[in-house]
Amino acid sequence: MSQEDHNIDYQKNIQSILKNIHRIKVMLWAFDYDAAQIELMKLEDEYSDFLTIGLLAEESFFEARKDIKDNQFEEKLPDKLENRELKKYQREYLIELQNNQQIIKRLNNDSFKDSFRISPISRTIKQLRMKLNSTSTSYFYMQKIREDSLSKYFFSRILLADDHIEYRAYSLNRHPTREGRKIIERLEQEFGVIPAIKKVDYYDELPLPLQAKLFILGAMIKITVHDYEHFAVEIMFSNIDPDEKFKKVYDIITELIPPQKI
Amino acid sequence: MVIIKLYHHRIDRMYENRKNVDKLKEIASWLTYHIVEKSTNPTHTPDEILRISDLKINSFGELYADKWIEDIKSHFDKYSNAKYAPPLSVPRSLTNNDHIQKTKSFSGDVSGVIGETLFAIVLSEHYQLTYEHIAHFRAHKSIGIYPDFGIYSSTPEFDDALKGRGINFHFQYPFPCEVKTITTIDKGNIIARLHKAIGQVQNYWERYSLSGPSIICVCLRNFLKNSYDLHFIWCE
Repeated sequence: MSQEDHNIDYQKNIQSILKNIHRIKVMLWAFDYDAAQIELMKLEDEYSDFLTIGLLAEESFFEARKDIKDNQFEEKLPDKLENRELKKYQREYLIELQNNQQIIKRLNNDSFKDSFRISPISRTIKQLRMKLNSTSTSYFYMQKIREDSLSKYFFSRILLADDHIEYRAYSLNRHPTREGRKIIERLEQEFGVIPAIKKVDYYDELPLPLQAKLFILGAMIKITVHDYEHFAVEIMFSNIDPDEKFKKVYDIITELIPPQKI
Repeated sequence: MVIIKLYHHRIDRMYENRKNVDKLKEIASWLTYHIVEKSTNPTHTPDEILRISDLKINSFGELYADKWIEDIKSHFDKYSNAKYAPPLSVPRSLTNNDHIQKTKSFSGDVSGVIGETLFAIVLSEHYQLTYEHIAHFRAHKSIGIYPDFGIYSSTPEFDDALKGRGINFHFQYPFPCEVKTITTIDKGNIIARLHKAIGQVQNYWERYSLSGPSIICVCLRNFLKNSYDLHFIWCE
């Protein structure tokens, strides 16, 4: 394989990995840990060689650095600078530069450089795995964050071919109250459901906040109008998979709210 | 709504001076002078102005700057509001939200995340670089071997920006970007941080035995002007 082909392959792989990382981040943001888990496993399987190379390169870099630091009895600077008074950050900079040059002398070959450019991506995936596995976040904060982020964003979860799930996050901040009402009306007409409306009749002039819940195809759609500028659509996919029928709900919502994809 | 004021600076032959600490300090001092002058002198007009909604900052923080501190997640838009300085005295009664906001207001980590988020927004809004082009290396921060961001591929807008500043780059290796956030205008602090940032991007290229370009972004939380001043330093 020529160098050019190799670089094209590298660019393609990186783009695809970055896209997948972004999708997993949206899933985590939408608190769908199951979907994120599946996607991450797929990503790790698909690019296992690619990712291992990156982590190994990083590991060899650390080993070399540790070795050099262990053998460094004191922070020695080049002779000319030895007796000069330097600021702390200048001293640190020079020592780091010196160490770096020694590391590179040891590892200086093309395959290392080639692998090393992948290693930050490999590490990011490793961190995502750690984040998914971690249980350190308290339940209280998770609940608070969940409520807050769901009321500001609309996460669409669309099932594509090959069991691939596409996640999209939309900002809902700029849409006026009337659009929240339009969604309720359209869903009522299309699916013949009666919304459960909290506090007030939404056909009246506002007092706010206004909340309507609709149960469609086994999912609960909650529409909350907070004030004249903020309204939220939450879709709880409790036990159902979004199929073609449910896509209709999504289409109605996206037709009425011109979404700003994030 | 957050106002971002963009200023551009350019440094030549930075890599050549990597072993000369005096020269590097001179560069950092020169940059600090211009950064402070442009941010504080009302006669200077910024190169560009962007108006960003709080919600956008929140979402970019989520997707581009990986907020690993879960507690600040839900109030991120409040921290990033540049209209007022966070209160210094603790109010007698604090609600839970206030408490979180208060105790995290001056955390370097929080302001760092805000700076990185704003930088990602500018890359996205201004140079059309999306998640397919940019990778955030925050995961490496504790290890300290990578800068904050790497740009893996380019867009025509970003290419134009590079060419306009006489920088030729083929993206064989990720393009490094380092962001430093500053909440108070203290010249000594800015010089030290700039020096550190220069060191970080130079060490990055050193590992490939190459001399390469980079962007150092100084994000200044400017309470005087109710804005964030983003100083893009294009280095070669």
